Amino acid sequence: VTARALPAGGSALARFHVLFDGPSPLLKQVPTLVALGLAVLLIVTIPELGFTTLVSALLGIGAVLAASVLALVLTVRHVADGPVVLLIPIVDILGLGLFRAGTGGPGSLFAGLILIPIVWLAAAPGVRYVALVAVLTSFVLLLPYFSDPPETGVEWLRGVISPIVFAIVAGVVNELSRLQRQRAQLAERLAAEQSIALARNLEMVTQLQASEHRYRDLLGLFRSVWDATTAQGVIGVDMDGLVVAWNPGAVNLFGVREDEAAGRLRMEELFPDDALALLAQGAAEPAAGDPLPPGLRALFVLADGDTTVDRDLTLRGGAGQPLPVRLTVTPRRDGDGEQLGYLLVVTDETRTAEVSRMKDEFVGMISHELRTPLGSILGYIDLLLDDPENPLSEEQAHFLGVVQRNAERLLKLVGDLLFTAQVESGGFRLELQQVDVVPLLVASVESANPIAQAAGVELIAELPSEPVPLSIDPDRLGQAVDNIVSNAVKFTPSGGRVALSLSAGPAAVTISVRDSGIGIPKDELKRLFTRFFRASTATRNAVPGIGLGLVIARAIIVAHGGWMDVSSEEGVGTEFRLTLPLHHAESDDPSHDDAAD
Amino acid sequence: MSAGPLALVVEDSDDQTDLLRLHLERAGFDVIAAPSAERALEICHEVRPALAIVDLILPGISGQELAGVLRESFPECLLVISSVLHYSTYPEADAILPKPISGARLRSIAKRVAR
Repeated sequence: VTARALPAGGSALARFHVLFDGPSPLLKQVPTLVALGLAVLLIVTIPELGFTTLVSALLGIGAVLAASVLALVLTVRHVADGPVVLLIPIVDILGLGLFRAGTGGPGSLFAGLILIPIVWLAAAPGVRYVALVAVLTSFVLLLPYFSDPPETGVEWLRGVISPIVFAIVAGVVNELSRLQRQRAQLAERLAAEQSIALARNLEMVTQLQASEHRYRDLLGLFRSVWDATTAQGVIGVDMDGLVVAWNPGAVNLFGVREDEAAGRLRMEELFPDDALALLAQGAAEPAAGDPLPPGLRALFVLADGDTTVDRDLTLRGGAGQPLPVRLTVTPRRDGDGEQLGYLLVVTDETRTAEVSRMKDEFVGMISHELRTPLGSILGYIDLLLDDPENPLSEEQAHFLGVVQRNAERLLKLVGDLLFTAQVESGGFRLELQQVDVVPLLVASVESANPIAQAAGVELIAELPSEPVPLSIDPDRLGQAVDNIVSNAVKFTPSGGRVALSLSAGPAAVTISVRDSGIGIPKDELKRLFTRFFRASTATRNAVPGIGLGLVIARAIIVAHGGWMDVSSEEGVGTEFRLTLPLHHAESDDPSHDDAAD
Repeated sequence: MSAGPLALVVEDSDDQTDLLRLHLERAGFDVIAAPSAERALEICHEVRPALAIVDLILPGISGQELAGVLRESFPECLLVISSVLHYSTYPEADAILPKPISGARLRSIAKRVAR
């Protein structure tokens, strides 16, 4: 049934089918035909036998031949089952009955021939064929009596006993063939089930082979990526920090072979004590019995929380030398998402640190080389302007004033560039003093006043009358406020106003610089504190500047532990707020502020 | 004409040396210039200057180091640091004169030297 759908392995079943589908009708008919032929041959060759009723015998032979032709036709048309096929033994029985009647009737030698089609008919499935056999045989055995009825009742019995015997034989054959069919069906079903199971197995094996191939490919790819990663250390650890995977990059960085590291090395052995102490800052109390130092556990806990853990640290290199690295930590999971530990990627920052140091040196050198001649220029200008014995003419003094102003601008620019570079490398310090911040703001307003007046901008200071003492670096804070105030003046058209105010709260002091200027587009506010960034309103209105003033101001405020924010509306004005905490631990983390929002 | 107090200018730039010399002479000082810290120390041992203006970036021994030695060995000398560096990085001194120098500032410092 399903055998046709089967691939390889189905041929055995096909052979099985040929065997059990049984012989063709023609093949089944052959014994009857042969037996009849032999009977005819016997009658012809043995004169004692002879035909008693020739017409009846010939009719019988004709019937059997007709059945044989039907068998041939059915065989050619591949009809092996069904009522049509059973017509053949029925006709055979009738034919052989006529043949018996024609060869001596009840005394015929050839009554036994009827058994051959009887077996055929009786083997057909169903008890009704047993009954049919009984009816048919009793009909054909009684056939001679229809024309020549016997004298005795005993003779009549022949038409009853023999059909009963034949019916019993038919019954036995019928039952045997039923059992045989049952067995055959069972065997066939088993065979079919087996083939299906076999096919399923084959399919599964094919799938397994395909996925094994994919897995091998993937493994190969992974292996080559793993081995090619020589510039970065990739380290897999278990939940408690024991190294389980150690790539060639890690071998290079830490000078430990893979077989020495995997399963033996503990993560903290790569971390010097000060690095661990740095990581442990602000970490939760370690759990009792935790094999991991608190610093590393804190790092792992952060990674568990799906935070990108990314730290710049100094680890211990292969020769015990300090190794500046960038470390990222992510959870390590198996195929089912179950966490197995952590994956640490260590990037060597030695070269970056070197480049950064060289950049600092370069900037320092350049700024010194630029400032020295500028210092001389300004010193001599000062000398010329400030010589009571040789006073300058008014025109000369004016010209020299222009030279002085420009040289000072150049000097400030150099200073700003150097300062920005120092902020970047974290290399500037505050000189904190407890001072009143009010005079500092007054000084800022005074120094910006000449420019404001020249630009037609009203500059107002709204400052408290009582002192506001703060722990600040007055020089640096002055620089920050100067930058903001001079920006406000620059970005305010003639007729506008700039107001500097101070409000002292219980925990912080806020210095606000509000202008009625051209404003900053909303989408640019976030980038306002980026180096060399200039608002489109600034470039459109040709306001001079290079985009360092705000960066410097914010760096100074942040270094004071404070923060800076801004609100602005295009065409209406801008307000910068510089907030300084009253008490603060000096912050050295410039990323810890809220920028514009 | 060695009537005034003695001022030592430690400076490797001739332009700056001349400028300082001019200001100091106008303020009534006798000026000795030294292009290096090494030379400055020799001079200090020979003649005791009342005022020393020290640049920080010098060839050889640095200005910071020189300032330390002068402070230690010649406490009576008024030590003034003059540099293009930010003043927050200056070593301990009696006065500072950040570059570019202003004549007015230098005069006010010079007044502090006892006559």
